[in-house]
Amino acid sequence: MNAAAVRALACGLIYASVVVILGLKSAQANEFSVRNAQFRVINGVINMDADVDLPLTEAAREALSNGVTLTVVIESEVRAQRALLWDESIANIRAIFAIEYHALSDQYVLRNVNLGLTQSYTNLGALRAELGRIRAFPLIGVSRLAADQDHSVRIQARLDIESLPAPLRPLAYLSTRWRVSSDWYEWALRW
Amino acid sequence: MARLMTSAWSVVALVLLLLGALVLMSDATQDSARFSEIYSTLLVVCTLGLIFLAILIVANLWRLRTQVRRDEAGARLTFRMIVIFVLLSLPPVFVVYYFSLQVLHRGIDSWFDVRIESALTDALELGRTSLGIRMREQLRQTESLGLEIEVLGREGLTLALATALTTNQAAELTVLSDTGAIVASSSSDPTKLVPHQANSSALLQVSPARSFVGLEPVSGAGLHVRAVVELSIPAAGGQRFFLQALYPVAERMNELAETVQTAYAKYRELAYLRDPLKFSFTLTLSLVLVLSIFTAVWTAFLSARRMVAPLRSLAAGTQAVAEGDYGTRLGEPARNDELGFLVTSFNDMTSRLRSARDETRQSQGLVEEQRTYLEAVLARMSSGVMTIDGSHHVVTANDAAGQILGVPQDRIEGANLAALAANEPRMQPLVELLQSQFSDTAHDWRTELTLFGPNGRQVLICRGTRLPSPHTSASGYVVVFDDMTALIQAERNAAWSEVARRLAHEIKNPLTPIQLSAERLRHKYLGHMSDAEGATLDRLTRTIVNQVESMKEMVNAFSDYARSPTTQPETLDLNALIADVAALYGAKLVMLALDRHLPTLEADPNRLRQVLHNLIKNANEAGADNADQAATEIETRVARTEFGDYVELEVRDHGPGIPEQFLASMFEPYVSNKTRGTGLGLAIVKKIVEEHGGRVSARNNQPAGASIVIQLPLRQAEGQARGSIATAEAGS
Repeated sequence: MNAAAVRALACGLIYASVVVILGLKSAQANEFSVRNAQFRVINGVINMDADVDLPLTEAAREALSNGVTLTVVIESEVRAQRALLWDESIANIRAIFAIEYHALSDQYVLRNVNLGLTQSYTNLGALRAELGRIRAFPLIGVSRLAADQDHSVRIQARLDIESLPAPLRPLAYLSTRWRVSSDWYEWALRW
Repeated sequence: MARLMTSAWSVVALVLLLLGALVLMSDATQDSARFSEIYSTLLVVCTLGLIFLAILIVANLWRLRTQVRRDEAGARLTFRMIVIFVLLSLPPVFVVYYFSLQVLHRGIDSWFDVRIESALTDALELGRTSLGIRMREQLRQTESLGLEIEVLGREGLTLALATALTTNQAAELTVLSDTGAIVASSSSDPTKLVPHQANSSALLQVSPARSFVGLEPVSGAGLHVRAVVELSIPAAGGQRFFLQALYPVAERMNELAETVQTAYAKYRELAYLRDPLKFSFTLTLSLVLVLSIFTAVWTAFLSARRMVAPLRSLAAGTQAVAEGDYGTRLGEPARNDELGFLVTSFNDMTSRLRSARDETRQSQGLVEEQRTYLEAVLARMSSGVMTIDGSHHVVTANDAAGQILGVPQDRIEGANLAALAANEPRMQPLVELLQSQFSDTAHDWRTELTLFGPNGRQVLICRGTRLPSPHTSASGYVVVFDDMTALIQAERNAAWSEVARRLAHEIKNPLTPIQLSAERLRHKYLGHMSDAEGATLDRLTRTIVNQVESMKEMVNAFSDYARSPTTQPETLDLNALIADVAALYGAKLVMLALDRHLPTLEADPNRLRQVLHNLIKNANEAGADNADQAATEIETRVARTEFGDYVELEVRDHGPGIPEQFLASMFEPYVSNKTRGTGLGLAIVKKIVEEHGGRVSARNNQPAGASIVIQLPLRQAEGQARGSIATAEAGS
């Protein structure tokens, strides 16, 4: 194949992927955000208190009111910092919450999938507020932390697209109205 | 070709993989739990696969374009075939795609009926309404209960609540403050320690005037009615107190309500997902379309290339053959269709060309060998060989021909016969002979020819034959001639000597007895006879003896003529010899007019002496009857004739001249116009002159007399002769 053609093709591909990535990146208009993280040890386990802001997009709310279950994932990762290599991940915990709308009672139900608890709310705002108050979120046992290493913890809150119904997934991936996730917020782990 | 096939198989594998992925995707779209999780992965896989196929096709297109640009064999045909294949395969695919989409959309649309939706909505409404009635009732109950316990103090609350629990058939009764602190609680479920928390938003809504009632799904326990009433209890600090009651909904109602709720939710979800579903199916279908198109195009490339491959190799092979490489062989194709036949024929043709060329080369080599052989033979032959074409041009002449004719070989070769005769006069007789023979005879001929050239008299035996020419109608001739002069001479000499010897011997034998007998007769009887008889006897015996003497002389002369000793040439000054011989006769009889610058000759002096004697004698005898008594004249000079340079010797007499009839034959033996003599004198002269390679001729002079002219060739170095002749000419 002609060398010039190969170059043109490569450039085209790189350009296209850059555009797509930038487009996707900039689509985080409604961003989840994690704030005010505090760590304390309870019964030998480091717990975290944090406030998460979870604005849901119009599209997400519409889906919710039409009976689609939304899944919010709050993920934490504890890392030990190493001098020469990249940081080693030593603990990874995911808290999964499902939000449903109950048509009969006109209530929004929040379900903690890990623990199996449900709580209903009359409006979405109350649900979001409750969900956003993370208290006593277990991260890692103290014993697992090496004394001579620095540790950091990363938190991300996002709307899980994979748990949406299959027909919605392509739309969710491609459309800007659906991409809701926060950045990975990182703190040094001190307790 | 093998690479083409392996890459073909790998692309086929890719296509099958993508097909499988698309099947799974369409399955997953219908919300099958099996493949739901991997839907996104499948999507990515399919997209990547299709991009790869697209790149493959673009690469193929580019390669084809380059091939067409470079005008490679078969490129245009490949392009045309690919276009045809693509045009054949794409329209059906598009038609099917379009109709499938239509069917799909209509099919999905047909799932949703407005009447079902409205029915479900109505059912939900019915559920809500019936539950609403219950809810209002229970709210009233709660309100009245609240009024009841308002007046109770804190201590009695728990008891009152427990009592009211069973009375009102509540699941849970709780008194709490506005801060959420629980004042008293009672629950029907003994295991439950912490009562259900009312959400703060519900609490906020409650005021003394307005209570809250609502349905609440509780996990594991179904629907409950929650009623919250504010208690007007005066408390310090402005604290407000609420009574929260949770009533379970009847099981049957719960079930029904749950069913309706679930159905409604499901249907709403489905209705909401209608468009995304359509989009998903359309996406899958489009991916299938793209896959089909790419597969069709790529297959078009593959099959077109495969079909045209023999043509490409054929075109390349033809080019190679045109450039002269007959060793090209195309690989035998596996199939036996017309193209395969073409390839087989091509291979046949090249192998035949190759063998023909090899044969040609071989025969060329043989021809070359023959030519070389022939040339070598011709060059070494002692006979002269000339080939003449139909237009009387000398095509070839070998070296011997040039030597024999005394003309350089390159002057003979290529010349026209007529031109040759004009330029080289010595060849005139030969040319005349050839021309006459060529026009007359159609078969082989053989003649004797006499030339007179620079080397003297030559007798050639010429043989000629026609050369049939395959190309032109006018055939050529080949002439072979040999210089027989020396041979003839030797033959003649040998023959004559043999005859002469025998004859002389046979004749001489009886002569001696005759003479002796006669002498004895004389001797015996002369004395015993009378004078008259004696005189007669004397006269008669004398006659016998004289005649016998005469005969002996003749025989001796003849024997002399025949058995002449071999010529012993030496460098000779002719003038000196002549002077020598003439001196014997005296100046009165012989006068000399000799060229002073006569070059030297190669000749036998004794033989020449004999010649001179004979000629002088003849001339003197002829001029003896002359009244003037003029002397015989001998003149020498150098003659530069067209034949070459000669020394001419003229013996001039002043006699009566030679009778015409004798002129031609006077040099033959026994031809004489004299009564005496052997008649061999001139024959001997001629013989000797010819032995020296010269020529003798006779002519009559004006007004009277005859001359014998001898021409002897000059046989020394050309340069020397020329030089002397040039000075002679300058001097004279």
